Amino acid sequence: MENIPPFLLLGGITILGFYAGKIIRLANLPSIIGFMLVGLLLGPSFGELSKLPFLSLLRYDDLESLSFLNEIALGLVAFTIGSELRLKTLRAMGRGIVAIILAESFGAFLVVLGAIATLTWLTDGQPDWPMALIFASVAPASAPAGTVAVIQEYKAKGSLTTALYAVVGFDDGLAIFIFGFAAALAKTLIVADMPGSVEPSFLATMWVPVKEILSSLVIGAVLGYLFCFLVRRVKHNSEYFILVMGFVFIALGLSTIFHMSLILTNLVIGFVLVNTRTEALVRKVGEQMSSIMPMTFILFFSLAGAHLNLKALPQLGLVGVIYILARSGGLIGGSRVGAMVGQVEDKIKKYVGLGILSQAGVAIGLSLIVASEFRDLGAEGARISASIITTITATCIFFEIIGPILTKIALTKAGEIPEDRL
Amino acid sequence: MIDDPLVGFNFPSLMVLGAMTVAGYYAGRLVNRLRMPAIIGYMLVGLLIGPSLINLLKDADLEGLAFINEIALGFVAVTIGSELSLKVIKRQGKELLTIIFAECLGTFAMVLVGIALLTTITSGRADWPLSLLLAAIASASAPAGTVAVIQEYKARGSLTSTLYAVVGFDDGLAILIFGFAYGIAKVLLPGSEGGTSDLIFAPAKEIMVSFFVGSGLGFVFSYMLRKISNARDYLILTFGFVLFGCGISSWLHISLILTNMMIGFVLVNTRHESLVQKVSEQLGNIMPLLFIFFFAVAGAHLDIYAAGSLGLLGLVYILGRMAGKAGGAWLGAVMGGAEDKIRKYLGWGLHTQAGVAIGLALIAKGDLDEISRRVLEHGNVAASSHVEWIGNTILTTVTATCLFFEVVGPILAYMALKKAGEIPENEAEA
Repeated sequence: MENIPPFLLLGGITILGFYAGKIIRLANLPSIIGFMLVGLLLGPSFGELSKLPFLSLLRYDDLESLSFLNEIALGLVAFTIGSELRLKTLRAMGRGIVAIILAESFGAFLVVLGAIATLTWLTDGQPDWPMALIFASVAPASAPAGTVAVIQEYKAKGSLTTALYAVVGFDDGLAIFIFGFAAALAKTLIVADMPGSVEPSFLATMWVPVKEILSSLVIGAVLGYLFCFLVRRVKHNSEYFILVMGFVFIALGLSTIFHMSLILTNLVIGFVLVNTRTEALVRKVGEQMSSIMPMTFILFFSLAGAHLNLKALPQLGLVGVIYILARSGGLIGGSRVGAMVGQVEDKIKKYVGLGILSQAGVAIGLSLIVASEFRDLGAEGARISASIITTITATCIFFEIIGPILTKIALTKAGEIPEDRL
Repeated sequence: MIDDPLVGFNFPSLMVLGAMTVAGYYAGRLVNRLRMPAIIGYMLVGLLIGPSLINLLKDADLEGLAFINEIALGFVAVTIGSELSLKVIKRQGKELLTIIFAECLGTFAMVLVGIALLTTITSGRADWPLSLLLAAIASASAPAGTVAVIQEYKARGSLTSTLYAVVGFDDGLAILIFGFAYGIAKVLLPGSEGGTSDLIFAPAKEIMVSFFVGSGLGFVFSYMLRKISNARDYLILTFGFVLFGCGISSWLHISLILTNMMIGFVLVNTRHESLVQKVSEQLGNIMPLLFIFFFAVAGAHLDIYAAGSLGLLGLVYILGRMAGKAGGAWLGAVMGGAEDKIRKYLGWGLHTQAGVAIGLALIAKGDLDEISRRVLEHGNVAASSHVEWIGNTILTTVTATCLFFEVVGPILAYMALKKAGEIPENEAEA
């Protein structure tokens, strides 16, 4: 059969996803679950597993050639997050937010570290620290798109919503840092065990994530100020959209070229906008954005659904189950501790942890990086790199579906979703 | 970490795309000051960063970005369709039909005669295959330029709606003329096989299938729209259907413009005005961005060095095409009994020519190269090189003249709308 043109697929997916979202809402679930299900059904792994290969309309090479859509969507999500972070509001709960971000990220890291170390200790007789470190390093990474999509779909408003925006936005920075630190440490441990190898300088390795975060912030800020300067003189509403897309594209390109975080860079652009321009202007930009975000989410999540590799599920294993439990426990417990230390409102303390469980593309990306770096580090390295990819791929199926559902529950319980949206 | 930024999609080109968007936006405002449509500025930016000049956007990037052209053309076509209400067509139907036939056939005839005369003078004998093919390509127009100008200046009125109808439907006629002329040209060429019936039947089928598939999609689309309450959902469904329409046209090898136009056409004629209004509001938000992409990429495609090979042939083609379009539109308007300002100004709005024409020229060249090879196998070296020469000449002539039409066309369309008084005062000053 002739190749189906990608447009036909994308158009079909957009329409199907739209209706799947409507249907899934009847079950009180966020529409993005429906988008993901459509992608999952049409993706490469479902057709293969269900012996219905004609369903697999989206093939691996299609997904690869469409991956730019994911980056654009993530860029727009990050920009949206940034433009929700007003310094005025942040200052009011600033200490609380910082405490929550630190506690949930390190909480996830430490609990997963402890759990995997204990597990390997029980099964192999001694804790496998490099492996525990690697799993723990990926655990803090979150997927802001799921949380943001749910907030926007239900038009949630309130202090928990603001806290969620801030936490899922900024914790990307901390996750990069923890990942860089832990991966470097694990590498040092493995290499130290290997005879005759030169130990890499730990400090030199640590500099990489710091540089990544700093350059994201600086370049994002420069782009943000430039954007604000230009956006001031715009006349027609549709022109805001032109400038936003232009700058998000530039930021995406720069993030790839200079190995920066595309989330942080785009977040800072939105952040500078919201904190230097009048509310009226910010609102106009926001209106333009919110008219295209729903469509962006359909494409983003249906492609994400197609990426979910069901074949990884049977290999979830004990490690995967422990990882899921430990990560959830670490994030929820950690943010509770952080909220207590930071003395935030009760509803934030109770529910913020539930809202941030999503994990998806970023974590899979990190596990791919680990795998490529550790594959050649002897038998131990090869074993870890194989295990991390299959486990993270499998657990992401869980977190990507359960995360948005829990976010919706958290927002509902906190009373931040208007009645008519439920 | 991952050291190869070129994995998968070419990311640096995403940055170029972003810079192109911002630069295009400002270039558009700059040329507005010179009383020219913004799309001229977008094209200039594309030309500047394209392969012809500083080569930030390379040929390979342009190939990867081809999908933007299709999406934009799809949206343009839906927009055109949604401006064509049956009421207008019923009232002006005969008039529109006369105009479309007159301007397409007029252009065809003028260029045919012009090139035939020129070749008679230069080589002593009229080169009918060359004349036929160039004449057929000449009747194709580029709706995007005209629509972009109409939307930028928010033009309204009878000339505007006539322009929409003409640039939309003449794509169908152009396909027919091209198929027909191509069939004859092939018979005239040495070493061709097969009869002409297939070549006339194929384009007719293409048009019929486009209308059929497009209306089918249109009915499903407007049925689905009925049940929608949220404004953002309009954009989702419109986007979905345009992508679907683009995809299905390339899959079935039918006209992207006609298929998508039918979607808009069915919508506007089966639903309330208020609903259509909501759809076009959502489209209005994203069209300006699409136009920047579309025309900047089109500008990057312009091969500035081709201007050097324009030559006498190109000049005759340009003059013949302009005279044919303007004269034919005038004649059609007079015969169809159109109002005065349409008679006077419609012809000026139809000069843009771009991607579609280059596409036709590429088809012609591909086939002619094939014929030339076959003729060579039979040992006829002179005839073979002549066929090859025709193919090359068509491609270089069309490429070079598009450079002219793509820039001059929108400017003339703007002037026509302005003189006809269809551009609101405050927009003209912007």
